[in-house]
This record gives sequence, structure tokens and C-alpha cells, in this order.
Amino acid sequence: MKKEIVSLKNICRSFETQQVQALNDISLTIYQGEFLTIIGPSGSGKTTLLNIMSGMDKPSKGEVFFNNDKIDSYAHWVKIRSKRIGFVFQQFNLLPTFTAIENVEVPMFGIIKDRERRRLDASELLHQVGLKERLNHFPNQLSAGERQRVAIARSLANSPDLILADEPTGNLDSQISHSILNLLRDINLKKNRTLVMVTHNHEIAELADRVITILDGQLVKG
Amino acid sequence: MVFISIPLRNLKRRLLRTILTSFGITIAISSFIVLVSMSRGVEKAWVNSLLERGVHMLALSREAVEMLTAAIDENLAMDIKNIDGVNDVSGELVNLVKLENDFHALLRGWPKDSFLWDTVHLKAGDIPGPMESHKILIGETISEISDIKVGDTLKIRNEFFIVSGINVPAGTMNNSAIIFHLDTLQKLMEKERKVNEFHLKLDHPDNQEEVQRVQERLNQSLPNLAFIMTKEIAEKNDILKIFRNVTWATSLVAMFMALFFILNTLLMSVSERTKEIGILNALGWHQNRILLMIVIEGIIMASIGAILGSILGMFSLFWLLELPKLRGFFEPGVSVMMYLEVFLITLFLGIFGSFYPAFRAIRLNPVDSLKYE
Repeated sequence: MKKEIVSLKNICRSFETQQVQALNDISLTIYQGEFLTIIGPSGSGKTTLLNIMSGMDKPSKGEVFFNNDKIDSYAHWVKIRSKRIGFVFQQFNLLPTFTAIENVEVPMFGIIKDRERRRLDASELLHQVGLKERLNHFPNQLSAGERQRVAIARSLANSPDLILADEPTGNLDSQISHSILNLLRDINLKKNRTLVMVTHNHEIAELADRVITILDGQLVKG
Repeated sequence: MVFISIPLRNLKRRLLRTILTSFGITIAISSFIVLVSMSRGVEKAWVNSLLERGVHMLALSREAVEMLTAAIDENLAMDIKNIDGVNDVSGELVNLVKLENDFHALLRGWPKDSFLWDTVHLKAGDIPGPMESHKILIGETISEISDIKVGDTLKIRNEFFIVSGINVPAGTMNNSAIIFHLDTLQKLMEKERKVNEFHLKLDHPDNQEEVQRVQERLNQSLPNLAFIMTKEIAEKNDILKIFRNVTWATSLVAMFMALFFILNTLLMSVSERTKEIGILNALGWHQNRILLMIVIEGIIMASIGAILGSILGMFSLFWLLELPKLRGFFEPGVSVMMYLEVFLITLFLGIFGSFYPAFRAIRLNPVDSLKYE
């Protein structure tokens, strides 16, 4: 029997100020080791769904379960985000005043107490994403593809069960996109990490084990 | 990388702004050190000038707020001396004048038979004899600044006096004093038969109960005078109280300015880093860690200001001490207590100045923060 990682039950999200119903009664279960893509046009609610999965946003209605535990407190979500979830963003979102290795170390504060251990782990993760020569480079000294690799290495800090990637190749050319997707797929397969990726590109979406489609805040396929 | 390097890096990023904020705090802290040290220095100089003369108690007019304007009948000295427990008493007339070289000097007039003459430490010359009404003793500071030696004359209020001796007392204030026979100074100041205060020596100054009894007897016999122990004199003096309050009020204004420097700097910094704070949130940083990061930034800026402010304050204080107009009127009142106060003020500035910006940072919605450009 497949192990559940995240389970969403009857999730609704409305933004009262904009009178928008971003998500409407979405129920979804994501399993351990799965590669799932969420596809849909711009403004369909893909990113909102990802934010709710990570506790960055609160649903207006519905429940979120992580490893079968209902999560509804801030403290619980912080704990889960720091240890169990890794984030990869379209805009990379690296801290500009920190080097590549320091960016990877940032999520480890409070989780790994030993400074040397943090350094070694961050260095090892950057090796894994092919950036062993770029450890001490600042984000502005790296190419777009390299920055996204740093972001992927950062998402792997603290060995999370789940990696959430929001349009990770949206800002990259096709060749680099291909290598980033391969890297994410490798991590999914070799490390058995669950990967949930938001995209609006059908070709990329088809690489996943399962594809769900969102349209106007509703699950239409998946 | 250690945690402290994160707030340090944030401050380094806007180096000029950090330097300017720390400079503002430096000025505030140095102002505090100078003002408070001067206020305490005046008290210290005054109390020391009394203690070194072996004065146990002072008798002051109850009506006069300012001691120099008091005028008490000198004959009350006999009534005080007759009280059981009083060993000796001496009236003193004090005034402050500007000498020809712009130097301010304290003029003190002592009766010819006063025990106060026994407390003089001569560097050169002699104490004026009972018949030498135009001879004076000058403090070492006056001698140095005005380049006056024994035998020279000094013009005070259009009259010439011959320097009979140079006094080297331990206390700073007495170093800037000119000592006259009481009757000479009374004529010079047009205060015949008047004194400002009485200096008392007690039979048993270390016996608290006995001191209290003597004080009660004195208060009963001479209700128009206030009898105050020397050690308490600074606490109970109205002028010093006003000086102290003004000092604290001025320091407080400086501190509030420093507080707003920190507040403004960190508020700007937090709004500039909205997206970064969102990223830290997304990476699982607890609100407390984000709050701590910003509070540490405030404490670092306040600490830099405190260290530089302490150094600048000390230099300013010693520079002020050397100014002819101020020389001799205060002793630097810098103590461990003052550094403890500076340390507490630094913590206060750092924590309170950064708390609101930090609070704003942790209240940011992570989703909105990540969209911020």
C-alpha cells in the first residue's frame, strides 16, 4: 500500500478583497516517491494550491494532512516546512548577499546545530547538483541555470520528504530547463523524494507519474 | 556560517546607512556620558571639597534655594557650638567671581580662628597672619592658569590682594578657590557679618544614633537652619537637583533621537528585504528566528554606537576638564556604574528600536512577501 505524504480535503480558498475564488473544493492525495505535476493556465490556482500544501497560505475551508496528521497550527507548519518540505521557485529566490554554499546552509539553522556539519552537508548537496566549483560564488556571479541548481540544493537541505517546485524552469532556456528537469527527476527517483511541480507546459507535465489539471480553481483531471 | 553573520551581513549591505545610524547613537551616548559625568562631577567635587576638610555636617539657610545667595548671621556660630555633641564650628562665606583672565574662581572667607585653616596644604608661602587682611591663599589651578606666584598681586573686584601662599588640596574644587579672611571677603562682597553656611565638626560622627540626636537638638535650637550630613549634601541640594534633572532630560532627548535612528533604519531595511523575509519564512524559519535576526541588527548598531560614544564621551569630558572656565568645578564622575548604565541604555536602544521593525517583519504574509519586488 502506498504511503500518503500530503492529503488535501475539500480545500477552498477565496480572496475576499478581490472577490476571487482561487480554489474550489479540491481534494487530492499525494503519495511517497511520486512525481506529480499540476498543470493549468495562468491564474488557475496552481500556485495557491502549492502554497496551501506547504502551509504558506491558509485555506478558507478544508483540511490539510501531512503524513496523516492534520496540520492547522503555525508552529506545526514551520516545523514541517523546515524539516519535511523543500521549495524550488521560478525566480530562484536566493539570498543575494550569501554565497551558494551559505544559501544552502540557511534552512539548516535551528535544525543542524553543528556549524561544520552544516558546511559539509551544504557542500555535499552542491556537489550533487554539479556546482562543486561554485561554492563560494554569489548569486549574481552565477548563470540562471546555476542559480536554479543552488535553489534545488537548498530545497534538499534537511533531507525533506516532499519537494514543491513552482515553475522551476519558467525562467530558463530549453537546454537548461532540460538539465534542471533531469536533476529533479533524478532526485525523485534515486532519493525517493516526492516531487510536486507546477507548470503550464504540457510537455514538461507529461514527464511526471501523474498529472492533475486545474482550471478556474477546480480539479478537472487527475 | 554562524547565525550572527546573517544580521552582520545585512548591516554591511547598507554600510553607509549603518555607519550613519551608529554615528547618531555615538553622539547620543557621548552626550549622555558628558552630561551625566559633569552633573555627577560637580557633586563629587563639592562633596570631596567638604570631606577633605573634615566637615561632618553643614548648616544652611532653610529659605535660600541657592547657597551662594544665602546670608546667615555669623554670630549664630556661637549658638551652634554650644549644642551638646558639636565639637567645632566655622562659618564660611562663598562667592563665585570671574577673574581678569576670564577664569572663574571660588572665593572663600574663613574666620581667623577657624579650624578650616588647619586643612590647608601649602605648596609655597604661608597662611595669611591674623593682621594681614589683604593677603590671600590661592589654589594651585589658579596659580598655574594665571601664572601667579607667592608675593604677586591679584586684582579682585577692583582691589589688589597679595598672594601669601599656594594651596594644593586634594579636591579639584578647592584647587580653584581663593581663600580670604572672612571679614575681608565680607567687605569685598558687601556682606558684613554674614556667612553662607556653617561647617560643623561633631564629637562622634561615626555614631549614627548620636549624630541623629545632635541633629535633633540643632533643629530644635535653630529652626531657621537646615543641618545636613556632608555625604548627603549633594542629594539634598536644590540647585544640584535641578541640574541633575536637566541633565537627565537632555540625555533622554538624545536617547530618543537614537531610538528613532535605529527604528527608521531598521524599518527601511525590513521593507527593502520584504521578499527575503518571505524566503526565510518559506524555508521554514520560525518567526522568532526572524525577530531575533532583526533585533540583533539593532543591538549591533546600538553597541557600535555605545563603544564609540563611550570613547568620544571620555575624550570630550577630559577636554572639557581642561577648559579654563570649567577647570576645577567638576571631577570626572565616570564609574563602573556609568558603564553599566550605558550598557543598559544600549540594550534598551537596540531592543526597543528594532522591536517594531522586527514585529512588522514577522507579521508579513509569506505569500505576499514572495511576490514583492
